[in-house]
Amino acid sequence: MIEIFGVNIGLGPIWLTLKVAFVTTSILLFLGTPLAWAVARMRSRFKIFIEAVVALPLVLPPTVLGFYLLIVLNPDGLVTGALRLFGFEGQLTFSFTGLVIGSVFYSLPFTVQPLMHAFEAVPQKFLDAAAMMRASALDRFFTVVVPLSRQGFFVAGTLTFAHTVGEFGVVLMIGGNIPEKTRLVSIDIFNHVETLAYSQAHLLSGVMLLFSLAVLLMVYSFNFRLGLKFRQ
Amino acid sequence: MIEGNLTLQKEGFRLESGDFSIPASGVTAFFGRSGSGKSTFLRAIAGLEPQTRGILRFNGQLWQNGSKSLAAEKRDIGFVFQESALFPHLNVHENLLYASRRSPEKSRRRLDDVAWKMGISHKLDQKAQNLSGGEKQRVAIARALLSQPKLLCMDEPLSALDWESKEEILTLIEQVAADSQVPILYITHTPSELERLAANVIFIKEGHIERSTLPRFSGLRPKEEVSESFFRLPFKNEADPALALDAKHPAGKCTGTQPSSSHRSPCLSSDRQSLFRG
Repeated sequence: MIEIFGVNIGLGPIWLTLKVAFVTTSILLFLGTPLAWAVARMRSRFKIFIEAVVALPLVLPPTVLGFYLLIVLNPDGLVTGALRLFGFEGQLTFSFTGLVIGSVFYSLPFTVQPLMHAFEAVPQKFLDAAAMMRASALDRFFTVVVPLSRQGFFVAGTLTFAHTVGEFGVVLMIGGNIPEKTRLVSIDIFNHVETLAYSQAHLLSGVMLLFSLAVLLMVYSFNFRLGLKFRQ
Repeated sequence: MIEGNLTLQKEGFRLESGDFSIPASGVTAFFGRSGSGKSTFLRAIAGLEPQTRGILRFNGQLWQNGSKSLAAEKRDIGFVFQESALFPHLNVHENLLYASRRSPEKSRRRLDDVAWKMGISHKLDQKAQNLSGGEKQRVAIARALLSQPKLLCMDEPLSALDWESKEEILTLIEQVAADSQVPILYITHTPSELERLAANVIFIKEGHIERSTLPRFSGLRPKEEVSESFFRLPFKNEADPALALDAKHPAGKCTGTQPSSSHRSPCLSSDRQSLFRG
């Protein structure tokens, strides 16, 4: 608990939000990179289907995604059951793990789409040139594709982090509203408004607004500077 | 010997090479109009077209058998692309190192040596995108040589250059051809390049090999056939057999007296030759 402008604010939700966003972004960059690469290189009609599935969280009500995740991850369900076989204890829903799983699905397009566009923009001639210098497929990916897609990684990382910080519906459905355990900033704001604690709601909302604006300014200024650089 | 028979269907274009047999020595030019399939054929040989089918052998080593093919990176080919394809995130030195580090012999001395021969020693610290067209192709050729290939492929390496750079790079390629023992496959649609460089010519039309002449100007072939093989393009020196023969001679046999501005001359001034042979 700290006091800002005479308003008492619990730090727990802020800390938990940052932790979920950080873990989610790391997982998504790790899993999203090969997925984005595969989709970017895909030439079959199946590509359209995968692109549509990846983009689903953009249009689906978060409650729908959260509802299905609750069904799939419930303590008596197949997924939890399978994990129990490997010595997993506890449950996936209403826990930190649940929050991260929900966030990974919810923020998937924010990682995969910028990466996919960055990968697609790498000219084939550079990959051919690298192959002609004996670079294997993995070598080509790390020494040609990754450095030429730096911008994509930056945009994907920042947008994923910011979007995870800002989620509400999915995390409420799968994580609930458990203080110090699954209560994130967005849910905390909801609670403050419900209890008419408007000064707390004001402060947290203001912080979220400034944070989101700062992230977007960073992304757009990076794109702008890069545009200038390429125009020269 | 590079021999085989390749087919490839790509975006409405069909390559059906027919049986071919290319000597694995000297410069073999792939000649034909734009869109005739020269590039596609060369890329199929290099393993850069995954849809390639058929059979391909290089000096007895199987590179393609049906739909199975040896990965491009395992074919020991050096490739000079039309637009140089230098990595924009690396400087000239790092571009050369990329090839050198993945080659059988990774010596620093060899890198410096090749950079000097290609006349780019003073450009090593520069970003690739800050180089002129001619300089970019010099780096691209250096990079291809540094990977110590068993076969060098050049896909219209002069087409993006201005006249003056064209002459410089053509001279450089002549030096490379004379100096290295590596066979070169060279795509062009310019008769003057063909005449200066090629010992053998593969004529490509609408995706198949129309004919190949080997070796050109050997004396075994009537002169009429040779001139016909150029699709009756107006070669001024066809009327002068001495000059035509001269064009076939390796650079080393020239006396160095021809003016270097003559774009038909394959001869290098003697000091540039010795510089290259260093």
